[in-house]
Amino acid sequence: MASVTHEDLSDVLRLVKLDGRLDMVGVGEIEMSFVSLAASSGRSVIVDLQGVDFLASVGLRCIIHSAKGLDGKGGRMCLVIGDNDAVLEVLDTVGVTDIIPTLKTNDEALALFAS
Amino acid sequence: MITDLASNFYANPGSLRVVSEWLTEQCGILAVNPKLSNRISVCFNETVANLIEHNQSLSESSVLSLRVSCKPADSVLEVQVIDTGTPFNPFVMSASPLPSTLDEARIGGVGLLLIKKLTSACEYYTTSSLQNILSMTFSY
Repeated sequence: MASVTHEDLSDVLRLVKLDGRLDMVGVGEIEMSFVSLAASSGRSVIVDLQGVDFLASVGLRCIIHSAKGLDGKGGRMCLVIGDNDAVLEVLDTVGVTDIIPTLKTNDEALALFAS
Repeated sequence: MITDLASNFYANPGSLRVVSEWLTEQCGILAVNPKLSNRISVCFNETVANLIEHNQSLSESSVLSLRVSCKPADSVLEVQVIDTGTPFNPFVMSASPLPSTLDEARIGGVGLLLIKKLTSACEYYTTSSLQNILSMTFSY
């Protein structure tokens, strides 16, 4: 089962953590919550994908949709993947790593938004 | 030695997940490395998701078939997804260029790009018995 949790790190920064399998079923389980958490406030968002077991294009669609929505509100998004090579390959293959900063650790993401 | 596996499943997301997990298990039994196993699973998911979302001649109770042929001597694994809906060759569509900015990024349409880039070869054809076969080859 896919899940989404979040923590507001400050007034301007939110951490959203996705876990599980982001296929058609999994995205159906988290899409509304994720888009609401990631794109509805003006906060910039760190999306932690370290716990994602599988990422299909339906999951990419959800991430890109949220990143665009957030961008329109003046916020920024970055992705954290840790050592999740399976997710990295999918992100890389379709060019997401070129348009949304993709980092190894949450500390790197915090440093990005502190700069 | 050639290993052939097959499974039938329904054209809906729940059934796709079950057979996708089965496919990953079989890859493990065949000693396919985790990176290739994920590529196979991604491409299989994209192929079936495309049928579920866009082939209006299929319903959620339509039966699809998965066939896997593994030829270790040639270091090749072939995955076929078979349907009997209205033929539609996804490869006649050109994949979108990679975006250079978030503004340029399309929200959908990356499934085909994943299949083209993560397979060694892919083709689509319809047999004389009106089976549509999307075949994906993976070298390892």
